[in-house]
Amino acid sequence: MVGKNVNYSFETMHLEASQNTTPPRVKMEAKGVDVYYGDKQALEKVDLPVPLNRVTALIGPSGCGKSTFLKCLNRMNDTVVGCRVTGSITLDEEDIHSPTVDVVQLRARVGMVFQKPNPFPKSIYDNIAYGPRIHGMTRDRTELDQIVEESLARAGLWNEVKDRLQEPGTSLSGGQQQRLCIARAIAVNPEVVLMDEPCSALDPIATARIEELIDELCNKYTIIIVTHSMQQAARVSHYTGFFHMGELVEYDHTEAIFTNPQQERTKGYVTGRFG
Amino acid sequence: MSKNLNPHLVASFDQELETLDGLLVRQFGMVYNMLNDAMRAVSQFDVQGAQEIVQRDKEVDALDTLIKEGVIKILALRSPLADDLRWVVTIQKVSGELERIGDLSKNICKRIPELARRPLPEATSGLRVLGFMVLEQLESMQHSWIDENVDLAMKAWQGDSAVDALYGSMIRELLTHMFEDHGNITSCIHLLFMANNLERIGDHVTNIAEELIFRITGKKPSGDRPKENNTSLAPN
Repeated sequence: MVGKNVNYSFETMHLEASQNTTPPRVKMEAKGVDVYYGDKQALEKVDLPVPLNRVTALIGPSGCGKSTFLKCLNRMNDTVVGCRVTGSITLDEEDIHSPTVDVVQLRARVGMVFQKPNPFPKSIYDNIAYGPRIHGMTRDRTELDQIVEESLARAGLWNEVKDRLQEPGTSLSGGQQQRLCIARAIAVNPEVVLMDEPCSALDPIATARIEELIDELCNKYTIIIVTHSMQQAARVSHYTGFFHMGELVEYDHTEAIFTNPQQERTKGYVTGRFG
Repeated sequence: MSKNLNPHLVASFDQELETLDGLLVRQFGMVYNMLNDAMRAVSQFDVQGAQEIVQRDKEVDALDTLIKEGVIKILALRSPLADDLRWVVTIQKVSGELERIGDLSKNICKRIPELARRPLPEATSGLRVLGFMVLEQLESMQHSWIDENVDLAMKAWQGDSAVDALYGSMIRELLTHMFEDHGNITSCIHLLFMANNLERIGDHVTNIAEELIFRITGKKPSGDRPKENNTSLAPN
């Protein structure tokens, strides 16, 4: 029963209705993260906890460092010449820069979906089967078939492609290709899925499908999404971080960021007054 | 546009918000004049004046409709967020509160012809004081809105208990008049309903204060609403 003195917000009631009442534990955490591209500092002292089975959105103007931060989370920045990352980033309390961490395994645990759908020049089936094959996740064809079907079904694409699995992935529409990429990312059973503006190249209907998918997927995966659309961040995420000039300016419940941000810079950005 | 915020990158958005705010300020003025004139008509038992005021309610309603259309347009086309979102939503709610104040002022005026049949000047003085208090509350609220003054809005929010207290004492006074002379009952019943209308206007002003505080701070005033209504026999 709701007591008189209990402070219930819409956010907590919504979460209680849709999930459980216990606060989420931290799945990934960045502490004091600095990123340099050569001499130029791209990120400065970023502290950001990523809660388990929640959607965390990163917003901010172009060049603010949000995509750089996202790429730190599965060490994609390792491949960028001249890029240096300091500070600590943990996945289940284990530092992802620790020498004992296998970066290939890390990227299987922390998958990524990019801005532009980028299916491999292979069949729809092989696009999904690629990851499980190279990670040796299956013993026989039946198991692989099962993973392909499950991944496509979870990405909401199975019914649309089940009769054309041998056609090239590139033959699909833009929205379907992006869902194929999401299916490919979840085929290796990741724990965290990073999405870098996954809908920016899609039409509103395809965008709505991806958003619906994000909503479903967060029950199983922890999702971090970079988006330029504040409405999208408001619609899909539970937590939002606002980046500006390499700094994490504000990080809070999405509801708070979009209805009552505390920092002037956040307020200016979300209301379109930034200049 | 709010004086504490920088302009939007899209200037037409600022213009739309200013237009909306301008309409609301106009509605504030219309409602204030309506209530002010209604109280004057009460003290002078001015039947003709009262009928004219009743007609003005249609203009307040039309303005409310216009404001709500503007709010829907901004919500649909601009997707306002943070301060802008609170502003737009608050304007819609405050316009609704003002529309209700217009209705209640009209209700007061509708009773004036009945009251004028058997005027009770001695019993009307309490109503005039109550009307004066509520008018002051409404005027101060209008200033708070224009100046975005949270402290003034907070005072208006806290001040409603004085209106409630006076309303309570008015009821007792009117009961005394009814006991003294049964011939006073009809007039006193009308005065009672008018006092109730004023007390309800006070509540609407309090709602507006809450909305303004929310619009500026992002939070509703904490604690229980000040209430000093000792007119009910039922437990609070």
